[in-house]
Amino acid sequence: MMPKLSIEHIVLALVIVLSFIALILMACAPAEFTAGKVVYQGF
Amino acid sequence: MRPAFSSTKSAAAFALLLLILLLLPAMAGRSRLPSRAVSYSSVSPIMGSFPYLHRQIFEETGRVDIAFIGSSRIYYDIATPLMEKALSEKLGRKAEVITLGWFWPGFDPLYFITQDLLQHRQVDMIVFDDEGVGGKPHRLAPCWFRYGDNAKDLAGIPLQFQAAYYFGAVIGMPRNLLGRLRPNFSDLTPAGAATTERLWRAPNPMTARGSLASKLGFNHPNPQHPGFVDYAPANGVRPEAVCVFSPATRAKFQFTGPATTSLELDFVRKFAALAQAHQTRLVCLHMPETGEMRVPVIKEREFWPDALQAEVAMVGIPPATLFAGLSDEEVRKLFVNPLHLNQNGAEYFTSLIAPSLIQLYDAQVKH
Repeated sequence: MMPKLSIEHIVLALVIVLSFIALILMACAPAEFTAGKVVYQGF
Repeated sequence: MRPAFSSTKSAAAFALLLLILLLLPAMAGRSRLPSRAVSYSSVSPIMGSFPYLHRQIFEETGRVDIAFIGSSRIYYDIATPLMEKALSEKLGRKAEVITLGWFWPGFDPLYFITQDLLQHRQVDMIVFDDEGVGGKPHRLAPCWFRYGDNAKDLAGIPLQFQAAYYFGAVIGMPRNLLGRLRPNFSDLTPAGAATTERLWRAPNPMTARGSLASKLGFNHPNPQHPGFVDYAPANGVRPEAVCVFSPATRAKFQFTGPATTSLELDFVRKFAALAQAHQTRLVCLHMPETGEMRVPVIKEREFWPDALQAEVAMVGIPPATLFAGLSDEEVRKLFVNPLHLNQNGAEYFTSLIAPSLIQLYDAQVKH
């Protein structure tokens, strides 16, 4: 028998899916996008 | 272990926040973004001459005779006022020669920034250099890539990179939204104007046609660096040493690879197509570096007319000729570091290439 989905399950699933999407986007991007501060390195 | 969220409500609020942040670039579209000029004016001068880019692209309106566009090697290596003076003398009128430079190489900023320039101003000739090294989106993409403006330019590039640019747009949204609420200063603050003097001992690029005339000695960050000394080589090298690629000069060029990555090719071809659509002549200039100082040929990674699928003049000076008669130590007096010229080098290099660039400009432009 399938357990009944509660609002809590749906919200947590949404949190997980959105976090996963954000992580995938971050993983695709160069680390410098999220480095916080661009430091002058002589170039 | 404590749960991540104290209640379902707080979990829902977090999910909503994440959803809004991720969708903001798509939801903002184009109409809710501030003008593109704001994107440029709000970038720090430590990342390039963005305040000058802002002025030249969005405030000035006249025709540009020659624009040097590219990352740090273009930014450091061209003495733009010298080039402008030479062209003005040739034309018998005040020429308009500018440098639009920034830090860190990449063909994607070359394309997006040129697109902004050509949308606002007619440019007769663009001089650029090999910007390919990384094969990934440029680190300053959040500053100039806006999904509402540029989504169409992502067509055809791999999904992984489309995701990266979209994420760049997410990162750039707070800056854009802030620009919507409050415009940036219209000009550099005194502290901003002093940035290049402080970091590179160079006058404000606003006063040097956008170029970074650095008075740093070789390998400046190194405590053992020799310090800057005014130096002009007296080795008798003449502008005739400059090679413009043709069947007659073929032997002076060597194409070494590595091949340009597909992402870089995509943007550099878009850049070339854009220039052609605006009847702008393209010149790819080989920049000197200390590692090649005794090499007798001009080493380029690619034969650029083939890579760009467009007409591109390739120009350079064989390094062994450029530095003929100079000791290694004298050559280093022309450089800030192995890849970038200081003011000595920029003036020496520009004085040699100027006649050839003027000749190419002359052949292109109907006066």
